[in-house]
Amino acid sequence: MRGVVEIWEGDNLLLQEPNMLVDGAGELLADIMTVSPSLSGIEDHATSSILDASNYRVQAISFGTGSYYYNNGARKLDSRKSSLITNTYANLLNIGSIAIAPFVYTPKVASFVYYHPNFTNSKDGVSLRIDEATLDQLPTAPNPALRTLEKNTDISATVAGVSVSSIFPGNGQHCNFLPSAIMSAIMENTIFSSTIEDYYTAASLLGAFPEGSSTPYSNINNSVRIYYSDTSIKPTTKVVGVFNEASSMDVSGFVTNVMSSVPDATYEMSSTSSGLCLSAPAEEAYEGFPFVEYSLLIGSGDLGHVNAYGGIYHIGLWSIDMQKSIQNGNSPPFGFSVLNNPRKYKLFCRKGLSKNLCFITDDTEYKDLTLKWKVYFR
Amino acid sequence: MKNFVDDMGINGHLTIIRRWNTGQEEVLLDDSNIIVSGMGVGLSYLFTGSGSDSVLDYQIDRFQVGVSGPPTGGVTSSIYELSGQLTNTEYGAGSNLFISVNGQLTNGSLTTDRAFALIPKNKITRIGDSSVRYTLVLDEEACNDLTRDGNDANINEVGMFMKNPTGNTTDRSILVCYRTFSNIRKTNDFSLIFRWTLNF
Repeated sequence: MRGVVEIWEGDNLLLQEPNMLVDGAGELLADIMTVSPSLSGIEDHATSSILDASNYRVQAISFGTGSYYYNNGARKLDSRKSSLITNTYANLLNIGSIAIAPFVYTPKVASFVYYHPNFTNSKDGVSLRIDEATLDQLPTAPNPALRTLEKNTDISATVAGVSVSSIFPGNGQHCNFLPSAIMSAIMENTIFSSTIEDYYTAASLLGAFPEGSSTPYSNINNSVRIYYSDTSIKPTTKVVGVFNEASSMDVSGFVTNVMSSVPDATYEMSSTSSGLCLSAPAEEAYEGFPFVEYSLLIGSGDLGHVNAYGGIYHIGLWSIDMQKSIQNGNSPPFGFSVLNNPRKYKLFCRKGLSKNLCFITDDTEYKDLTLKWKVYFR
Repeated sequence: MKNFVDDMGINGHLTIIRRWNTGQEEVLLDDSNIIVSGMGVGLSYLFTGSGSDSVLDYQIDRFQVGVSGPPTGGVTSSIYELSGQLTNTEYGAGSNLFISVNGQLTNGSLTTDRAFALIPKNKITRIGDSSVRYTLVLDEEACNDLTRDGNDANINEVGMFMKNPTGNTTDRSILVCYRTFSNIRKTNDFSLIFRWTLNF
């Protein structure tokens, strides 16, 4: 057993399974054991900060799905959707009273939604038609040599005559392009910024997490999110997420670690809605801690939204990749930034799910889930 | 349930070489070692952010040799100290070893004034993405002709230590890997080289 991942809905334990430590964890320990002590003698703060122990801990969590869904579900762009997008945005611009927002394609009766009763967090919803995932839709098999959560995650769709993945190559997990501020900053000066349709289409394909409740789109009636079902375009009620409300997720989909009670027992435990929290039982004198627990609240809106992008089949804990972070021109200490995060990450351990964590039988009844990930030291 | 160290598959391999003053070498031991629970204890301080703020304090930078191995209860991962670790003077005043005398975390308590031989940084080498080799040298002048209670005391155990994971102002080291071996009567005719590889 390699640590334990638990998923809770309130007081109801939905899942408890072991995780997998990957090769990156061993590399991290080798990094720790061989970092040069001579750096401590260098006056330059950035250089000596390489020795700060926080650079060598778990610092982020991310979510992913199977390779299939990086070209299907909300990331699929077929001729019908293209036509609808073009017409709809034209209409929206004409009437001027509906939000200009990314266009999220979500077949309500989705073949990729895999039924599992434990993940049914609806109260009494009637089950929609459920098809089991076919073999090609399942995520990659567990492999300790993996450096990312999933392989082959480039989006093949073409927008403005350019492959989306040529500008934004897949990074193996769900990204965070939809919030207005992120979208405008990232798309700026790319070919996708030439027309509003291209702009939002590219962002909507990249996905995958909704904006926060206090950071809506700028136009009127900004609560509207437009869904594309099998038969029609259907505006839905507002969907907002926890990660972007707390600004805890960067554009690449990493939710950062936040201050916790462990280093100083006088600190209050941070809210799990503010990011990845760290906790542990009380220290046993000179014997350390039996385990460390990483916990995170995944908001109902995040679950519902990311389900349109293939749901969650992978979860990963990440430490900082010191070498890559420095090679990218950043100097420690590495602060967290949503838009241009100086922290580059190395996969530390992962959890693969055989069932979609976002599955629900009634999509009006999504509920928050709490993830608790324990790593045992003895 | 397996713990973190077991899960990660951290393991080690120790080769002990006797190098005679003539330059001739012979391998005395070539076998795996035991990663002990102290590795998990030390790393728990790191990953909870409760120990030292410097990554250097989590490094394996010192070792001990002893004369009373194997321990009474057998060689298990619960070992937290050598059975008969050498004192400061027993390492030999004329040797090239740099001896640090500091505290040691021993099974939930603190033992003071333990002697450790520091591993020179140039003897700690990364030999793979997740493998590190430590080369410990007891030179010709070190640990020679040891006696305890009037009897010959032969070297038969060795352990490596994490420097100071709790971040105390003075080092408090903790045993992380251990190995016993057949008695070696150390004299000034040869040096002993412990080539210890840890795979994380």
